[in-house]
Amino acid sequence: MSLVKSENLTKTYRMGDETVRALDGVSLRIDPGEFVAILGPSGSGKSTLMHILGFMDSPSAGRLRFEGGEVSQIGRARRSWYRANRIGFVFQAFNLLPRLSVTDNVLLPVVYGRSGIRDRKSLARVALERVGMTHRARHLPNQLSGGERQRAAIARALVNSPALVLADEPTGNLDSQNVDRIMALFGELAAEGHTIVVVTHDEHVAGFARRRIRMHDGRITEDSSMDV
Amino acid sequence: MNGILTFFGGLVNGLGEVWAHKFRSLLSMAGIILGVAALVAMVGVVQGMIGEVRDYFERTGGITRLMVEPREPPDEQLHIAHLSPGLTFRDVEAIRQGSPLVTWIDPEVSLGWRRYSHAGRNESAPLRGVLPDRREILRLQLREGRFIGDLDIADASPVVVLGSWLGEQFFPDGGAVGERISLHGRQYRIIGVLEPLGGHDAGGWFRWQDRVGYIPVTTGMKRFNGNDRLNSLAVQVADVAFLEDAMEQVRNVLLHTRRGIRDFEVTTMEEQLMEFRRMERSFTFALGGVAGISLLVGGIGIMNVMLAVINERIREIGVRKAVGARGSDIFIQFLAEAVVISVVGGMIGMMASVGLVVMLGEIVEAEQFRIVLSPAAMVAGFLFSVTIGVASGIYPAMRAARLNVIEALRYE
Repeated sequence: MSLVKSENLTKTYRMGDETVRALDGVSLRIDPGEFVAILGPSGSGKSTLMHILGFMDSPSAGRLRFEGGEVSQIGRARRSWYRANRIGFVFQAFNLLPRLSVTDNVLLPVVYGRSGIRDRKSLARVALERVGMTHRARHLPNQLSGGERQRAAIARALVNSPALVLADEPTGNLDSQNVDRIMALFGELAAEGHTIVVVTHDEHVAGFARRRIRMHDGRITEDSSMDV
Repeated sequence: MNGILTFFGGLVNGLGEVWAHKFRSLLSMAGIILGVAALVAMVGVVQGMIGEVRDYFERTGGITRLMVEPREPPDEQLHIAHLSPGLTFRDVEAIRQGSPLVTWIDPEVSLGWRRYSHAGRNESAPLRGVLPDRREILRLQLREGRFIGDLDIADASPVVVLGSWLGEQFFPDGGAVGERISLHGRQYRIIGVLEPLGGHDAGGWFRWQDRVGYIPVTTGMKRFNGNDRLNSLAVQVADVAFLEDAMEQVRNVLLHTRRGIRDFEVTTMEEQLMEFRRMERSFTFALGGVAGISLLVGGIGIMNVMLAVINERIREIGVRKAVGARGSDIFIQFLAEAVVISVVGGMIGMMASVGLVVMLGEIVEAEQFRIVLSPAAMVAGFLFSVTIGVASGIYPAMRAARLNVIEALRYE
């Protein structure tokens, strides 16, 4: 069964008198365990697509199914639950909360996920172990390097074992050495069975993914699976 | 349950935020701090003043007191007004015989300020001629000796009871009874010294009363004035239920002694009581209003700061929402922060109020009245400040809760 299946997704915005078509009939299918890069220049609609896949935005038209359920049927509070429990987010600017320790940052989705899990600390430890950050668990974000911050953010995205990890230009703020390390980490996670979608405009970054979806003007112009 | 947990987490988080921005937090609390302190101080001032008046009212007979006051006779009696002897000691005797509902009779011959001399020392203090009844009405306590008795009245004896202040001046070590003191060029035997009326820390009226020296009313009439005129006359009735009847009795008796001329009026304390209540109410409203406005300003301050804080943390709100926070979680988080600010501010305000009351007490001095530190006012001020804080946190928290997650994440 597919994890994500969209048919004819369309998103239009009104900007003044003009109607902007950010997505113009996007149909795609992502299966569990896939490592996908969505490539495209700015304005191509890739971020909009990611927001919709991440339950942060709704399409104007078209159908979207997630884990077999119709997304448009899901109410607002339930969307929050999905963001906490079924989706993991990684951002370009890391977006760790500056006054929380690495552990507390990692635990945010657990707090908001309301799963009733008592042993939160070991959840955080497992996630931090996976990204090799246990030694930084008590640090504040501003005591970490850029690469470390992004790894902490990835631990946060993984903490609730989500069905889908969405990364929006996750390497945009990193030096080339860290770019490779972070992308390699995503590769490992995909190999372990996580479903990863990375949005980027960088061909090198997209090269780490096994499947590349190229977008232009709100449409998919290329969808190529690459066997490794 | 989850909401409570979230709120508790919000409180912890809010404390962290307040601590992280100490100076800004203090500024945002300033209004609440001053508001609570002002409220408590205002209530203290009002209660002090009102308490003083109430004590005075109670101690001078309360509502069972009837006063005989002079009045212009009606027109048809004006031409015979001179036939009335006015307020004299004969009224006292007539009331005693003709008004059984009266328990105590309180005439006074006011002799103004007099020079008291003993062993080469002089002090000026008021002197009053009274009946033994005065002791019962004012509930005077004696430090030593006795008060004026019926025999002193009958004999118009040259005896004096000193107020506590006079006793302190002339006989700081006691032993005043039996000594002689010179008054108005004559020797008076001291028969007693009073205790302070309102205790040692009382102010105002009580301190004033403690200066007074008392002689038998008959002595005052004969030795000082040479007539039997009184300066004032009041009576005490045993019970409020008899007030109307007692008034009638006194009125009838006095009409007799005044030869039918209605040049007097019997009044109750009711009017004073009403006046007193009116004063109490207007004070409470005026001062409470001032304190309320300052608390309101404090609330506006909190709202202002919360709006600024939220503007600063739009990105954080976006992140929290992206990782699963619901609007209600964000609402509770920022409301909890406003609660922390107002609770901490309210507590600092309570502490500040103690200082303010002590300081005001120093300025006002006990001569006028005492300022009371009212725990009830402190608690009320605290609760009020917390309410205001919560109320002023609602709107900013709602704005935070409604932020769009994508726009919030993009916010720089």
